Amino acid sequence: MRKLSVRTRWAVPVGVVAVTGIVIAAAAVASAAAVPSLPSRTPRQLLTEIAQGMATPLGPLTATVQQTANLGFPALALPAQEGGASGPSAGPQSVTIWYRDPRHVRVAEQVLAGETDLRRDGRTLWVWNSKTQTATRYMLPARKSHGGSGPAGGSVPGTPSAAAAQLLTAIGPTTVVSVQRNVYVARRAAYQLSLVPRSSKSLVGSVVIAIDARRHIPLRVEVYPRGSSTVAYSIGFTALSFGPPAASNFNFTPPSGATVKKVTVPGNLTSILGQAVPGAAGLGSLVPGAPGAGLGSLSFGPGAHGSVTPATARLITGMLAPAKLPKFLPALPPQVRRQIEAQFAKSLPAGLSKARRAALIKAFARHLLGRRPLSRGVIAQLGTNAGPATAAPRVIGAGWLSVVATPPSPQVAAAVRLALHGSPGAGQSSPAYNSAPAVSPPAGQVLAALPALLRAATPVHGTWGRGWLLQTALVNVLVTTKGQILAGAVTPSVLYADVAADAG
Amino acid sequence: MSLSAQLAGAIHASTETDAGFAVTSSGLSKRFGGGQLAVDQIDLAVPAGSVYGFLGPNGSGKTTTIRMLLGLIRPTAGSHAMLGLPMPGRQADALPLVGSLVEGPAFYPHLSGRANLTRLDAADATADAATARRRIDAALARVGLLGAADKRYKAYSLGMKQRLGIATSLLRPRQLVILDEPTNGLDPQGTREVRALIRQIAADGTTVFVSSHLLAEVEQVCTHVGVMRAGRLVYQGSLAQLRGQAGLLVRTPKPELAAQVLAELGLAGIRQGDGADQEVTAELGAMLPEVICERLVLAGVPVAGLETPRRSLEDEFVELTGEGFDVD
Amino acid sequence: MSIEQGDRALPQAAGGAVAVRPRLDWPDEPRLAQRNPVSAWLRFFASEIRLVFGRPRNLALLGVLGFVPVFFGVVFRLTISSVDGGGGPPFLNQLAGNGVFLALVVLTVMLTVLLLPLSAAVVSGDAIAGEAALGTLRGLLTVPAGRTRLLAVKYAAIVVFSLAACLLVAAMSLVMGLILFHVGQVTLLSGTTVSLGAGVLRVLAVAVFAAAAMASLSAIGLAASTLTQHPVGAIAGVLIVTVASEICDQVPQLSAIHAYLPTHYWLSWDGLFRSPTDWSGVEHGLVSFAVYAVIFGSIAWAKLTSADVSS
Ligand SMILES: Nc1ncnc2c1ncn2[C@@H]1O[C@H](COP(=O)(O)OP(=O)(O)OP(=O)(O)O)[C@@H](O)[C@H]1O
Ligand SMILES: [Mg+2]
Repeated sequence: MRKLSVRTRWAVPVGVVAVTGIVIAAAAVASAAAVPSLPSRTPRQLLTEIAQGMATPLGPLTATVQQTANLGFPALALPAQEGGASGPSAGPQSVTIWYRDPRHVRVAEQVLAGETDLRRDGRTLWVWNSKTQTATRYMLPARKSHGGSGPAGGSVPGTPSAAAAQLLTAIGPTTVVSVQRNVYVARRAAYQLSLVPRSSKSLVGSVVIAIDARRHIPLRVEVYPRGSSTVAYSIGFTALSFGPPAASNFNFTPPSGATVKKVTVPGNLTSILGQAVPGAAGLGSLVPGAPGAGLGSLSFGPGAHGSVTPATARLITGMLAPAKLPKFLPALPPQVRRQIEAQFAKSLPAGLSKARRAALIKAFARHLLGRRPLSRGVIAQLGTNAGPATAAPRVIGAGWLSVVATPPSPQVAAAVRLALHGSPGAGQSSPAYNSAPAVSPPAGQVLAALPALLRAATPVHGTWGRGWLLQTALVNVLVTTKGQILAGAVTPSVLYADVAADAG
Repeated sequence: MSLSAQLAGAIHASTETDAGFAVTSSGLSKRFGGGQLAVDQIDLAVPAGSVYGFLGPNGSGKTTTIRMLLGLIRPTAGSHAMLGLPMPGRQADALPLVGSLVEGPAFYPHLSGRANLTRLDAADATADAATARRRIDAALARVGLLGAADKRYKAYSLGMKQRLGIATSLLRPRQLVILDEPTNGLDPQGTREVRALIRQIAADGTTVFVSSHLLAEVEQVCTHVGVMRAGRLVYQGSLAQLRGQAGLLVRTPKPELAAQVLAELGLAGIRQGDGADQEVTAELGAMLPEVICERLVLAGVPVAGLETPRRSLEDEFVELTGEGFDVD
Repeated sequence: MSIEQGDRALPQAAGGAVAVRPRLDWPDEPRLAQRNPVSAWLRFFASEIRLVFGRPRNLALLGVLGFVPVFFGVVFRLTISSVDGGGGPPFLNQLAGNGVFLALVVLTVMLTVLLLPLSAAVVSGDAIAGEAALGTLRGLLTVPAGRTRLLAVKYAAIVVFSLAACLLVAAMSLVMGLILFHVGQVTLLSGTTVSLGAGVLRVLAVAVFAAAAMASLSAIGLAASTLTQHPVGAIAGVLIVTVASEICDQVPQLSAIHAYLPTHYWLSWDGLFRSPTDWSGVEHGLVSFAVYAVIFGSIAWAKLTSADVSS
């Protein structure tokens, strides 16, 4: 061994650390700074391509989708996923998807030493939860013809270029649309389309959509708050490969020893739920209109709920919805449950005996509480006459400034009083929020979330009345003393104006 | 002539100056982190085949020097070579030929003496596993530990531990054996045996470098000595040189006459004992005592006694290292 | 000529040149044949293995590690009815149905309650500091064992010890699972099943992965061991690093550095129990372990090869 100086020897570990650091930094920089060179596109060309891309059925694929929410207030309004693989953590959540066609899908939510799986094989849908070791089989209703896996008809009218033109004209007055630096997403070259609201009353600074250069499908959507360069919300592929996944992903045999439940989903149950539940302050994202309906559908720009819902987001929520249902139902807020029960009662045939009617309603209620699967009798009684829902949360305003508002609810008002005074009957004198005693809240996710929400909120008042305002990077929530909840990606002034307008 | 032999010749030529020395150093110094200069520019020259006593009081830097020689610590300055090989560059080639015991024995307490030696032998990349057993037993036998070879080290007495330490330096044929205070903790018999062992090793032709502060030990076995004092090498040379020339002492009733005869003989340093002593001393030089005696008698000096006293090594040692008891 | 005689009696230097001219002839001593470096390494390694596995303290450690699965097996067997799917360590909910999972539960518990890290810390923290404290380090270095060679052999033995510890825990758990629980086809996290044999193979793979994690931690221990002469200090240092890393891994505000923490991937073998098998966690883990091993191995090397040994 030749004699090396002490300094030379210490240069080795220093070099190793330096190389490690450089490799890590270079990988980070390279992935951030890598700019694929692609033929340049105008926003209009891009929109046309997207429309074309969405018109083409999405082929079989395997992908991982990651959602990151950094709203400055972790997952407050989201209900905890009971028995689910993940808790209500604010960290990135990702799911892996194996997709052959809309009828052959597997979605797995993987967490440390746990997994929730949804496997759809034709009409059979299995939900597997490793934590509880339960397998639930849903027999889905026979499919109404849905035009294969193509796009939902309404959103892309006419030719792609016409659709693009239409979209641009529609959003033009409210939104600045531009093309940004190209990026790699899930190792695929992508264009970036940026939508910037013109109104300064919107909390949204920009929405950036990465569009696959070859397949013209959205790969990632990022939402930036106004005046911030930190992503507040993003959803996108972290891995994406095309090609049919193995058939073993779709069929499922419950392992021996597991608890097996069997549920037959009536034809219109999902639509009942879909109408009754969304918008109930944050729950909406978890229960989309109808499972499986929106695969490949594109609704750009400020949608019905004031947020961009790209195909990817729809894909995930659409396919995950049935997985969430069984976990989610028992925790429905009582008033929502009553609404659903009322819908159910209305949907029953008119000629039933009173006792029969009461028994059916009771059975359905128990099912809703997650205690028992629906019996054949109940399912048989569920005709097609489920009427459209009423008294659901409304959307006030339009475009970027749209706000979701629940009607004033005595329950919410009582819960607010309870959370603030410890007594639902106490007067409405404006209390200091921080003197609120910790009170076990009434059941129901919205009501359960209220105390925490109120603790983080600041009391506000104005000509419109009194309430509590929760401010996050991207969403403001206003709870009024009358029990009305308003939420939107808008400045508080818009919420106040909406309350006033709603009351007036 | 093979290539390797040619290379060997070249190396010998280049290290010709060191050929006669098992250990050489120049300006070897060690300053510890605390700032203490433990070894201060020493130039060692240990002749090949010698038994070199490395003397010095406590804390004078003997162990520190030995650690530097063996490559355990880096010199702050200076260079050294062992067996003609520059250190630490050729350490891997030199050390297998050097047996050593540094600052007392140190072994695994839960292993037997034999297992401890086996462990050290296994660590030696150049040792032959096939002969390990035989070599280890031989080493144990040489230090008289064969009977206790399978006892656990922690059950050894102090002397047995010391012997096992010496045995490690005998595991293989060595050209140089460095022993740091090998008789520490030994009983008189043990001390004698170690002395005998050192003589035996030296008789085989191995250079022995033995550090000690026991003068008797060094006096009896060493051919050369180096004396350390506060980190400096204050003396280095053969034992005889250190002791210097013997003196001459003549006891006689006629000291004046005796002094005159001795002066005629050309002896130096003649001193007449004062008063009643009636002694005359001088340096013996190259003169033989019997010749002096004959001349004195012939000159009519009544010789009551004639001695050729030598100065004790202890006197020399104290003279070199100072009288003080306190460690520098 | 004496040179000729000496040639055979001397080790050959790397360049083939004869190092020294011997000035004396040893009567009839064994000739130093040109040693095969591989066999010399193996001999030293075997000696180190004997030392590590022969040390009473390490044997006691292994004994404790081997007993823990017995203890947990019995405890879970007695309390299994009260153990429900929600809480507890991962895979506990499947234990009642299949004893194979005892190994996973026990390995997870022993990684998180620091039992396995402790044994890795003890063996690695002691490696150099222990020799220095005993004084045997100077003996080894003057042999000369070679500082780099000594370090390599030490680390190799530590890796073997880690592997032995993890496999022992897995094997004892499998045996206890077999005795105390029902055993059969293994249900994966994805809800699909594999045969018992395949399940046991996966459990062993987890044990090997855990051993890799411990080997990586041991590299930190080895580095700590070269920085101090007190083995207890090195051991404590490793445990402090482990606990600090695990705490940081739990703090959401530090999520940016989570992936770079030494303990982050310790439990990331769960992908082995998915269908299709997800290797990404294992791959990331192994890369992380290797990087930590290289960094701290090089620190240990730089320190040991330049240190003054004055113990
Ligand atoms: N590791 C160290 N760090 C700092 N100083 C040291 C170290 N080792 C030795 N010294 C100092 O160096 C000096 C020489 O010590 P050394 O051990 O070489 O003496 P010695 O001649 O062997 O003494 P003794 O006869 O007592 O064994 C002493 O003053 C000692 O305090
Ligand atoms: Mg000493």
